[in-house]
Amino acid sequence: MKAILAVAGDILREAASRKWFLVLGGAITLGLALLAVGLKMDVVDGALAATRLFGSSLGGSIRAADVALRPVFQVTSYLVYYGGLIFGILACADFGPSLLSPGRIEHLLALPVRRWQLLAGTFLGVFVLSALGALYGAGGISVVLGVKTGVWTGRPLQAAMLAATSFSAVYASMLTAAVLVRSAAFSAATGGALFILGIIASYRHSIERVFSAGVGRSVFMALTLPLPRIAALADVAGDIAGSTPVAPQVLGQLLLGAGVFALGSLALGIWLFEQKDY
Amino acid sequence: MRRPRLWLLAALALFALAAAFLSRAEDRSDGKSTREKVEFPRFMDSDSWKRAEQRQTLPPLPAAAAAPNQPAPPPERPRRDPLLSALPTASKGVAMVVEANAITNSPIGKLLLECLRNRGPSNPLQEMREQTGLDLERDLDRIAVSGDTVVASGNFGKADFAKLFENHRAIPYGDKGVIYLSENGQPTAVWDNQMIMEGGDEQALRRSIDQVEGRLDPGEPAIPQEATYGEIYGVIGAEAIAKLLGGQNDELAKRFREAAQRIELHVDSMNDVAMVARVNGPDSSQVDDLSRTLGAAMALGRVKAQASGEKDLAELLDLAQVVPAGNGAFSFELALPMQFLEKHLAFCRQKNPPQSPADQSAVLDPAQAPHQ
Repeated sequence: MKAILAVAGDILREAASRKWFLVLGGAITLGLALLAVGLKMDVVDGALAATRLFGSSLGGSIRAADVALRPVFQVTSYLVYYGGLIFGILACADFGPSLLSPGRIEHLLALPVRRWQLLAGTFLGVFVLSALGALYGAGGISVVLGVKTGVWTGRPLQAAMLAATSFSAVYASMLTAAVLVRSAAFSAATGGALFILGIIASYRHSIERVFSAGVGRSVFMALTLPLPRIAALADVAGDIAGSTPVAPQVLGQLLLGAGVFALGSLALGIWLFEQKDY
Repeated sequence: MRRPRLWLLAALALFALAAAFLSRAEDRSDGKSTREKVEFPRFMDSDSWKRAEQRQTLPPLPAAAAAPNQPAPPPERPRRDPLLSALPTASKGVAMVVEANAITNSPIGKLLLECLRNRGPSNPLQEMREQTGLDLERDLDRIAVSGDTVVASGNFGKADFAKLFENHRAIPYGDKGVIYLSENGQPTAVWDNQMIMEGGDEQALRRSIDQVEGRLDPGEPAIPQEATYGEIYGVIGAEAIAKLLGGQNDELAKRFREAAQRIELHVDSMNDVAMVARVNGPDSSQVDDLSRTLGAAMALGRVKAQASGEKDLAELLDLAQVVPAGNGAFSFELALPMQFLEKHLAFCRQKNPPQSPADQSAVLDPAQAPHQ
């Protein structure tokens, strides 16, 4: 475990030194600061009566502040989820190939670290990184709106963790792809493909009607069955953030499905890694 | 077995497990969206316009002769809806139309009819049909109320009015009207087997028939045609609302009296029950204040409901909102989702439900029901 944590720590240090992540951190901070300065919310007896952004009225209805903020949290959740996934796919595509780059991999394998620990550590490091980014964005908005309206809720943070879990499933496949072909572009393409396939898998019962009944439809249904339901998880995250009731069993199964798929992809990556000679 | 192969087997097993979890998630969600939204009746859509036009079965009122030195009146006046024509001129009280037939065929209407059927040993609607030939479920189209007058429209050709008004004196009036006077002088009018009018005095009913038959210009209609959308619609005077609120929220009632001039109400019941009340007033700043007070009262009510554990009320107030429209107007929107109504009217589906309020509350809250 110590070795895995050490590798994960290395990933976090490497991320901190990369411009991409510094820009992301800066952009989130700037966005939050602008929101904090420019947003004026008029709360009367617990009801949000008026909202102004840099002096311009945003209109909207008069209703209990926590109810009025639900769509805001919901939109934030979708932004964090899809924005985080797309950014993560692009920004993290290089971690795997750089770990396996000539010179570095030989050095790492000479250390008392097993191959599976290297991959598991990299996966853990990226998961922590994505979770921190999502929590920072969603948490920051929660704090800004909490200070302005008195409505404090941890729901956007829960939604952010869902986004991180969803990304972990995508990233595990990206890491496996990097083991197979040491290329950041291939890794990113794999992530992008799984991102799109995960959205398709979320609507597979609607899409299956496109195929005429028979082998084609069965193959489509079989191939999309184990894929993480990216869009379904995004909707559930939005529902959680927006205080819409969510069936706990459905949420549990979706999360378990994505998490176990991530572990499966990682196991496949480790198996491929074990086959390689460096 | 070599160790690397274990990873491959683990990967395959994990993919299969992921498929199993995700398949179960699909079974449980059953393809249903969690974000079904309540549709509010906010404007007159094309279907409502079509419905209103189909109901304009009466010829236009004859154009008034132009006085000397006055501009000629418009050459064509619109055709008229008999029910709206029968209503007294705009009053400061309540003028409301209930689309009874549409509601009967809506989910909530069906539930309420079940209530009526399952209540007591007999079905009052069936009894009425057998005794008078009046089938309210099929023949009744709309019910309108304005001031003291109540008008029901529909197809009453099969109704046995002789039996219905057994001890009444029948006085033919106008081209197609008959006024039935009870022994104590209470009048009821029937027009062309299409409308039954009640309330007010005989003179008021004569005026209504005159308006329908075009002998009397009613002037400003109680409910303008462009406001005839939803399953319940009409206008309510601010005083009536203030009276309704009086005692519960005196401050709000006072503000309504001061700021609001007219409240237009629209209720849609075709899926969920959604209500939009459009409030107008001459002083836009007062109306703006009223909208804020109403919004705050709702927020406060919701917090109180949450604090006192009234989950259902809090849930309803979640869906309530005030939408400022500017220029001295705002809308108040409230919804009763069908799921909520089904939960609370579940006793309607039971044969012979408990009759006393105490028994009924026990049905609403199973936790309070006595253990068998």
